Amino acid sequence: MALSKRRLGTIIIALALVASAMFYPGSYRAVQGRIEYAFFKTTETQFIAGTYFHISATGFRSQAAVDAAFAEINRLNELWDDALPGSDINRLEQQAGSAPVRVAPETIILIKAAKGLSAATGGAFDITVGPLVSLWGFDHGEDHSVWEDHSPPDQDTIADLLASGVVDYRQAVVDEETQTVFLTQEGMSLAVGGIAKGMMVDTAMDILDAFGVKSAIVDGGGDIAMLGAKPGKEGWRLGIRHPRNDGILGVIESDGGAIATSGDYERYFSHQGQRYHHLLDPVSGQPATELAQVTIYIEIETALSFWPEGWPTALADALATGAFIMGPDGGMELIQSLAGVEAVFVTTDGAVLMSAGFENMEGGP
Amino acid sequence: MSVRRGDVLIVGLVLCLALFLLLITPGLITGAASSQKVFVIQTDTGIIRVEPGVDRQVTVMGTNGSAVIEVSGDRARIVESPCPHEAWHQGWISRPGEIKACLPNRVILKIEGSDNGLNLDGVTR
Repeated sequence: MALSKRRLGTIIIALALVASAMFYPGSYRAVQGRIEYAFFKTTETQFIAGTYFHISATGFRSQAAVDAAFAEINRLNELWDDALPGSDINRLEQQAGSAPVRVAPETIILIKAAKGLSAATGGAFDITVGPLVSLWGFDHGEDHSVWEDHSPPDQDTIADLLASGVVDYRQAVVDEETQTVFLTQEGMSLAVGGIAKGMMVDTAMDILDAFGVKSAIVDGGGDIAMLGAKPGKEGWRLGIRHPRNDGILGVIESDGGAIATSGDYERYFSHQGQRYHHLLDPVSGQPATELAQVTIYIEIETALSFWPEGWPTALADALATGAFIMGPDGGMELIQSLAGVEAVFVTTDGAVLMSAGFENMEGGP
Repeated sequence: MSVRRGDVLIVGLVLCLALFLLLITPGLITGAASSQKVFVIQTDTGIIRVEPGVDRQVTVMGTNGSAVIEVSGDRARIVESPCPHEAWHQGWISRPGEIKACLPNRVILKIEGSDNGLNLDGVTR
């Protein structure tokens, strides 16, 4: 059937109208995003490792991707949960001072990365701080009833513990050839909380990426990684909580990267009007006192001598702890020396300090 | 000027396409979760979604005992939950992306959707 000129004209006008609407700047992406968001979005939250993990992913295989990501997070948790008999961390602590222990490749990466960051922070971040954390009573996981009427340990006990040499990242010896780790001192224990959660987030994001997901956000108890932009948007909008109230300190918008925060409000107790929190200085044995919160943002991961590639959220997680303990001067100096790493510090007296590249952060309400 | 059947068909197709685009706009077929705020209470046993607007208290059962969530206006909070670690769950939340959690009791209160405020996709803490 031959098309009449008039009918052809009608078709062209109709297609032109639809095309102009779809391809109007921003419209195409918005329409594509809305289609994907409406039909191929998977959102799920699970309790793992004493916190929540929330994944939102958009893509044709998002459900399978999210299922696989959660399976991997759970597998890593079984490797790194020190309370779980047979876990890598549990076996390492059982054999501390006795013998090297063969562990999973992921555990080798975790401990090696942690040691690298320990060196970069001058020992402020130390994965072997476990015995100190126990002494202060911050290792009770979800049993927080122990903190009622809690008081800090006396200074002599802290000094004796530190003098015994059990808190020293150099005493966690990694042998990549034999895939073993040896905690050389009896009584050593590992506090992996400052890095493991970030590694779980990174692993989940790698899986989503491998499944072809183009847009996702993974939130592991506030350690957040982003993949691509939110469907139909320029990026993801993330708030940084205020350390002393329910508000938002600031907002950043990003279409990728990772962000993590450490604060003195996460685990703490009050004694005689003073707050004692879980971010302990391995040198003094006391909670670090100058900062209330540190947020680390890594927009684009760059190669760092002390850190393995592919773990940006774990780096943000561990750097937040390390910089917190180093304090505003040393911490900011370290951050400024690292390409691609930005930070927001809040001091205990309320001052907000930002690294040079963090100027674009929006102020909170 | 007469209208031919083919023209009607084309106009109909264009209208169908327009309607499709309208329907996939967040808020129409994806519901409140993306068009406006909804409070989401999650426990090990299930998820409850509560629309803002009507003040109410919702009691859910966590792993260690019952938890009471209060919705007041456009904000919500965990009023009671066996969770001595107060910092995690105390205080109101009112913006999408915000989360309060009583982890020992495995109760999460979060806000999904969007509003005219900060439109957050997550909060680092």
